[in-house]
Amino acid sequence: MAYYNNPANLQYYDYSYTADNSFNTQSRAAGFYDEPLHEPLSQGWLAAFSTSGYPGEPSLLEELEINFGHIKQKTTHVLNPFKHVDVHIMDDTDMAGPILFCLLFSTFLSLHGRSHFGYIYGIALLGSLSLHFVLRLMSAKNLFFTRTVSVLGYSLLPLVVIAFFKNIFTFNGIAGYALAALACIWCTYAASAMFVGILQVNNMRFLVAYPIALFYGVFAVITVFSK
Amino acid sequence: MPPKLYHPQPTHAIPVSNMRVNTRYEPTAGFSGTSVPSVQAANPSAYLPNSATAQMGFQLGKNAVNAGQEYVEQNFGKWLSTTRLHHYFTVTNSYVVAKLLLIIFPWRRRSWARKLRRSEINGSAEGYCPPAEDLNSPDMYIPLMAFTTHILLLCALAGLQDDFQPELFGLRASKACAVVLVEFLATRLGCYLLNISSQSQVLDLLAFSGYKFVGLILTSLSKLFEMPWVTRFVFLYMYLATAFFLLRSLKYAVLPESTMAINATITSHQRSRRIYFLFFIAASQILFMYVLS
Repeated sequence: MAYYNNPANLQYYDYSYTADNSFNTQSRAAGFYDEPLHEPLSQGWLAAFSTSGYPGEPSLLEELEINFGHIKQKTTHVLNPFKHVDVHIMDDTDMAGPILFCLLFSTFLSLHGRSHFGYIYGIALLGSLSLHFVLRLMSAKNLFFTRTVSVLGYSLLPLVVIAFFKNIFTFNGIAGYALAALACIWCTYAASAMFVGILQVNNMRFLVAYPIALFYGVFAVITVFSK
Repeated sequence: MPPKLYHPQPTHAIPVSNMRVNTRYEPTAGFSGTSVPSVQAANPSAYLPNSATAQMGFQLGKNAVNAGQEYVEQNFGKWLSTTRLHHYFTVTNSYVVAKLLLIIFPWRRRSWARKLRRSEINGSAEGYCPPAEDLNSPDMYIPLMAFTTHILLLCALAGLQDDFQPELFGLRASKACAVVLVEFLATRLGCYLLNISSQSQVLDLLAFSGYKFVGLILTSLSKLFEMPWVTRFVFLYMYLATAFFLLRSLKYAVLPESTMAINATITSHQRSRRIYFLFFIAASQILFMYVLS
């Protein structure tokens, strides 16, 4: 109870959410050195089952570096590909969104038929590694693997929606194929826009987009034809 | 008075200066702990008993590290060098379009020689031009994209026939990699047996081997018409085009140009055997393409 009623802790949380990452880290470091611990940890059996901890301790979400605001921002950007691309939208390369979308994709496919978790994760890992390799060689700028995975994972969202609707409608027809192809083009457009912004290769937009289209084409084929 | 006493002392004896510096900083150590590490860091040589021995040890370690790096670069650098790979991925939109058209319609091109990159300083040749500057230069972008497109297309066609399994991606990819590897090893064996110098790079052979997938993609697309004679016609045409393309491209890898000094050592018998080897490479493409289709 004292943990939540402490106004200093609440001010710390409000303050850290509005600050950027570097300043947040700095404030944490300053707190570690300058502020000695006023309250020691409670001991005993009852204290072991309580939710209290050190005063001023960051929350679990902060320690896991899961930022739902950024996840929402990137997801909104993928859903609206005609908005201007902010070059720094992918500066913090989180892995929570890609893993979540890959998990949703596999779950929706397994609801319809046989489970393909292993193939989905294998193709996702091998495809992202290959794409990272090709994109690094095509551009002079440096590209980190986590950033590649982050961009590819967030741009998978239209195909996740297709995988979800596969449980309701049938895709064995021209309309289904066209809809899957449209989702694949949507994924490719969103991802290539971000990669062109990151790699600064505006004159090679199509060359950057084609391997990305192949990557999402594999997932589209699995979505439409798996049974 | 004290500055005058300290000023002329360092010019005479360095150990005396160290002693005085330590004496000067010693009273301030009691006020804050941060000055103690700075004093120690200011005089690192005072703690080494023999700096000549330390320098010799550092030099030996540095030489050992450099020797190891040179060994790794000599053995693996020529195969997996990032700079060399980057050379093969230096492509533009116009190059890719023109190269694809050349692979599909190779009949009317006159010059197949590769351009040499000239140094800006003395004009000497320092390797070939990258693909962005020379249409005859092989690249790795088109082979990789054609390879992946071929596999994706085969799996999609299997899906259209209700015969899709996720394992197909792995099976088709492994089969294609095996065929490319067999062709690469056969070509290298032929170059070794015919005593062809290693002017042709490993990545050049892999790139030329990958261009056949462009024809295989068109053959697979022709299956959508569901008329066997269309598929056979496209297959035979793309085989002839790919064989012709390889014949003209590999000529400058297998038969050196007449301006080079190596040409003087090649007899007419060796030249004819190399020409037969070129035709064998071109003719064997029908086997590889049939297995891959």
